[in-house]
Amino acid sequence: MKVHDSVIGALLFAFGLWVLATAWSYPEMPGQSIGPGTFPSVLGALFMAGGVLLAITGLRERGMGLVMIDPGWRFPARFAAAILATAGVVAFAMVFETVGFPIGGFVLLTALFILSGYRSPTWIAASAVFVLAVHLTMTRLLYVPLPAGLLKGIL
Amino acid sequence: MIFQHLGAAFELVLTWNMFLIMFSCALFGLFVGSVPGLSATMATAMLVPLTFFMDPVPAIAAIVTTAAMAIFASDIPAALIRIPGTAASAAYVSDLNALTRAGKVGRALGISVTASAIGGIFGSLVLIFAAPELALVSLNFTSFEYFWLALLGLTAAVMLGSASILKSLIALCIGLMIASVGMDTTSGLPRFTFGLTSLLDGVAFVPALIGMFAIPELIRTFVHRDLPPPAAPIGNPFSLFRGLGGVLWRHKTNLARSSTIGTIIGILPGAGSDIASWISYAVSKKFSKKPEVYGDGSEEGLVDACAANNSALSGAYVPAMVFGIPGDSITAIVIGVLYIKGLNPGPMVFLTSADTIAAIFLVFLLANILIVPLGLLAIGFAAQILRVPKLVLAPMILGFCIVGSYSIDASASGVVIMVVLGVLAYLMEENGFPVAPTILGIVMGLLVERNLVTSLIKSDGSPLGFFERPIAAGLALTVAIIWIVPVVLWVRRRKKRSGETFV
Repeated sequence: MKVHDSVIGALLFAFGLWVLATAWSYPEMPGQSIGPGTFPSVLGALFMAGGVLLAITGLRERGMGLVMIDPGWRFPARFAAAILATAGVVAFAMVFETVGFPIGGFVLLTALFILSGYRSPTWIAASAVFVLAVHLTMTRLLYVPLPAGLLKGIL
Repeated sequence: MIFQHLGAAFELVLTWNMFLIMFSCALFGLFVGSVPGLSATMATAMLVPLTFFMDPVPAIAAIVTTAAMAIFASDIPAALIRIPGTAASAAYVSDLNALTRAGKVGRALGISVTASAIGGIFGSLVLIFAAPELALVSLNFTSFEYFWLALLGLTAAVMLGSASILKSLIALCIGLMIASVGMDTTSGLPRFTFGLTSLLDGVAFVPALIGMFAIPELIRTFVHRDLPPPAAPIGNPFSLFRGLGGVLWRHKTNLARSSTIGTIIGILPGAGSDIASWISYAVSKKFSKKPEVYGDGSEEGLVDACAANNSALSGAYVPAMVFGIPGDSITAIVIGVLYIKGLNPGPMVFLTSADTIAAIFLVFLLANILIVPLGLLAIGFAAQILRVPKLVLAPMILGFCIVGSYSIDASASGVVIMVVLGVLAYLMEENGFPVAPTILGIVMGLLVERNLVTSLIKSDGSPLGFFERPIAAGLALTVAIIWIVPVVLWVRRRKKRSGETFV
């Protein structure tokens, strides 16, 4: 997704303003002119200045819409795969302990394979083998406490 | 000072365990490097969670071997399908492919594999001899010198990238901003945490890293689906060494020159192997007797650029080990790993853990020597590797990313951080903001802030303190020159141009 530089510039300016306001609300350290807000205020000011410069250079360049989207996003399956790989993973993280990596990971991988056009049973088996192999390697060999979730007691 | 620790170092390195780790990481690096779009940095980032369960030396060995192999292996798709496996091969991709089309694929990859190894070994030797000396000098450094050094590193990251300076600067600020999330180190005040307890310790580094390098690539694979063209046949891989000795001997000065350039660029904080190969390719063309064949299958340019990108990889470890300031994004990852291992990089580590440091240096040499035999193996299997579609790998890579970002502190908040920063990185890259300065910002944010605040407290808030010590003043001057020179050049160019219009 390409956004026009002038829009990004405006957003950065607003962000810088917010950072500056938040940084100024932090208490100063007693007897010092500097405090926890010093460094963030410098960053806030840099964001504001950078935003203005970017907006100015952006306004000079013409010939691009405000927002340009890669044609790939128009395919529902591709769009769904990207959403699943991002928002879907966040949702998965929320229930990571209860559902567990083996079941959740299997569902996620299978869905992604199907959305990418790999629909044969081979790919369902492949996700199962992959998830199981990763889970067992991590928990048994490397002692990473990946949650077994629904499969607790079985794995 | 390094030699008295060599015996102990050999004991740490020459074990079956180490050999197994280096061998499997080499294969992993070769695989990732040969698949276009999977970068060396991404390979290293994905390795980090695994290194938690290793001792320091094997952990570093894993990363060094993977990176060295990936940088070399990215030449394979460059030669066969004209797509560089990583950015480090971008400078000479046309030369490699032109040689392939002329039926000289064996020669092209032969040059690439040997020049890479020679450059890498050269860089490692410089690291071995220069780093301990520099460490002795830097024992006298105070927060003022460290502040300027850090600033110099960040400046180089902004100035030397291929993106616009303004956008690189903004990307750097985003990284510094991410680093300032969490409890403030001096006052203990929570900053920008939005009341979330999981952010009190700051944004976890490993999930951030995995997300910013892997997620954009995955989104592009799922959505944009830019499919690579079919690979050219490779023929007999043993034809690689035919006539190679002659070519390398003819270009021995090139090898020496570009290994030196590569190492120096690697040492400069913020500039890595991709920039090293661009610059030494340009230098090579300038001094060549046949500049017209550059881009059209020049063996000379190939020798130069291949040696430079691998020597930069080793050079980048000099500032990383001595000052804890990363030379590129891979060393940024390594610094993170070293901190987790309790082996805080800096001059003191050369005194307190000299055996480990010597062992790490040996690992560098070994990894670069391994490039030749394993590279041959990879070239033999290249056509098969290139047949694996990226789309099939994407869901599995995502699986690894989830496990990797969860395992750092066994908390699902790491997974959320990975996704959020990954989406941010995708949007940044789509709009021409480079991600590498952001990563450097995340790694160096605390270092810059701590040294700035400490220095300001020491000098009672007076900025003059930053220039009073000789080395600090010298570093400040260097930073100022790097910032001012491009502006002066730009103004002069503009004046000249407007002068031409008026005359």
